[in-house]
Amino acid sequence: MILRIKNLCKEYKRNNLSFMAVNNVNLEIEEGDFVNIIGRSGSGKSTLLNIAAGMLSPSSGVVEFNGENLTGKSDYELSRIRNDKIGFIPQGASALGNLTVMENIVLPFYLWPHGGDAEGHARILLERFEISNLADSYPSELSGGELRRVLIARALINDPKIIIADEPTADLDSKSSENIMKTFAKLNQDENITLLIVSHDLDTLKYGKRILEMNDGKLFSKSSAIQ
Amino acid sequence: MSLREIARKNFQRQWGRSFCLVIVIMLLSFFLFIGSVLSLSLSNGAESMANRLGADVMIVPEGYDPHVGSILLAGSPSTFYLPDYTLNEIENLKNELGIDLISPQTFLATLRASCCSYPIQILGIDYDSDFIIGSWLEESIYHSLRDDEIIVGYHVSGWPGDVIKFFNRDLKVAGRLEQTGMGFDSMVFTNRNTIAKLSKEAEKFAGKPMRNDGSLTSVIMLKLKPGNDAVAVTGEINRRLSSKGIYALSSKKFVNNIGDSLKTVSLIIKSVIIFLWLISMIIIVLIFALSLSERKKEFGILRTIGATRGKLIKLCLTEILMISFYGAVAGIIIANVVTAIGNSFVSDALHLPFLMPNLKILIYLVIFSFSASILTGIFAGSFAAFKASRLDIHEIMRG
Repeated sequence: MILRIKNLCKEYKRNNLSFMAVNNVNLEIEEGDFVNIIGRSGSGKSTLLNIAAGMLSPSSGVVEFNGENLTGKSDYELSRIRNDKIGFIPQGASALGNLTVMENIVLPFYLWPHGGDAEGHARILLERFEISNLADSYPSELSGGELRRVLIARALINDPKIIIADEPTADLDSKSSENIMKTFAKLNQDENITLLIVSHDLDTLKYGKRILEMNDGKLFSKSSAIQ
Repeated sequence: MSLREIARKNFQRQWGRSFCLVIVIMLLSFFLFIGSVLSLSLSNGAESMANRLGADVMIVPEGYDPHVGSILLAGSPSTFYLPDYTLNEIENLKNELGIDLISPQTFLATLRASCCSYPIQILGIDYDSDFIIGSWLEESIYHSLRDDEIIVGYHVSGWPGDVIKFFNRDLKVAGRLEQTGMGFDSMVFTNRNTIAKLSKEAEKFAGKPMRNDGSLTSVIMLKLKPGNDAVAVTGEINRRLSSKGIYALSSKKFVNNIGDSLKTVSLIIKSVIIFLWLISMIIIVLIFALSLSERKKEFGILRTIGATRGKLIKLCLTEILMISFYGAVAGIIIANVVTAIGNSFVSDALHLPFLMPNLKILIYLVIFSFSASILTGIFAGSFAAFKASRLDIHEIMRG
């Protein structure tokens, strides 16, 4: 089991009124799984992903990553897990603008001590995503689709246990969106890479082994709640 | 791709922000160095003057006390003489007023004419009675000045062995003085015999005697016996001799007046330094705080890919360290160039004793200005660095 989320709740207060951004969610993801969570903006998808990646602490419930409970872990431990075991792709154009494509991709490798050839690995990823000609370009010089492929390459640089992507097709045209989702599907099929993706784009419904829907903080299977 | 490498790239790619911060640190280190050099030079000058003045009371012709000030501080050429009976009058008061030593000096201003190598103030010392200048003049030549020999001040051209002409008389340069920060730096020193000969020659050029009574004494320096109050003795001499065209002034009062001016200038310099230091801190804090909001996404991205809070602080501090380093180095280089070129202009403009610190002290000042600038940058930048590390990743990445 790569990821187990049990009775997860995240409560926020707005105008002195509390509301549940994530409401008693249960989710289990096995190795090689491809889970696609869809839902409207504000449904709690991003909050759920951030908790799953150890970037936000839940109000209650348990998140186990690779059998390890994330509750109570220090910033140091959670950062190490995010770096080594999770390939997180944030929303939007989330590359560092002052670094080249190559530097952006190898950055997670150098944040913590790792053995191996980061640049060599990065070149293979660039080749695989057909952007090797962009290695020395800066993010501002890339199209939306190219940039997303750079972010996928960056997420893969440390051979993580799971790729978690928050709205990876947001702001992309339909052609680019399709290419990105196909890239994810290929990674899952060919290399058995575990994927957890959230999106509000209904076109992404055709991808993924499991399609879940998030609504008002609750997680449902496409037709019924899975709790 | 270390954090240092990322910081370097951020520094290069965000050149506008980096440039502004480098300029702020550069100005800080520049003014720290210049201000410290100015302040120390004035303090050294005052100390040098107090040490070298050596006399408790100076006797000058009535109305000429301001001339003594400009001679001692700036070496401004000036010629004036006391009445020929002055020395006798002072000798008569010696026991009564507790005077220990009496030494006359002669001032003679040379001319901007073919007779003279350059216009300058010559000071003739009576080696038999001197208790002030002779000892430190001898430090540069290891013997008393012989006839037709001169010692030149630090700013006067001429090297040992050179021959310089004043009033068509050839004088041999026997030595050069160390810098004093006073008017002595722009003077030439000789003995009483030589200045007497030069005065005779000068009278030929002027076409009239320097003074009708033939006096060749410009000032008389007095050293009092221990326990005697210089101000009281000065007052007593003035009470008795002012009607005879003789005026006494207390060296202590003269030095104190200069000291008061020095204190004022030093206070202004220190205030400017503190003001600039505070302004620099505020500007750095503000620029970093402003850049923090535009860099939130960058910090959020770093956190999502596994950077700890500590690594974010390290990144921010590395950037500010680079900025501070470049700023401090640039500021100190410019300050040294300005000091080397401008110190003589400053000493002339201030009309105060001004003695530059020696090389060792200058090196200490470089280290001090450099360290203070870097520490200021790091201290001011650490607020933003700490704030950046506490940002909520989820909030940032949601935009």
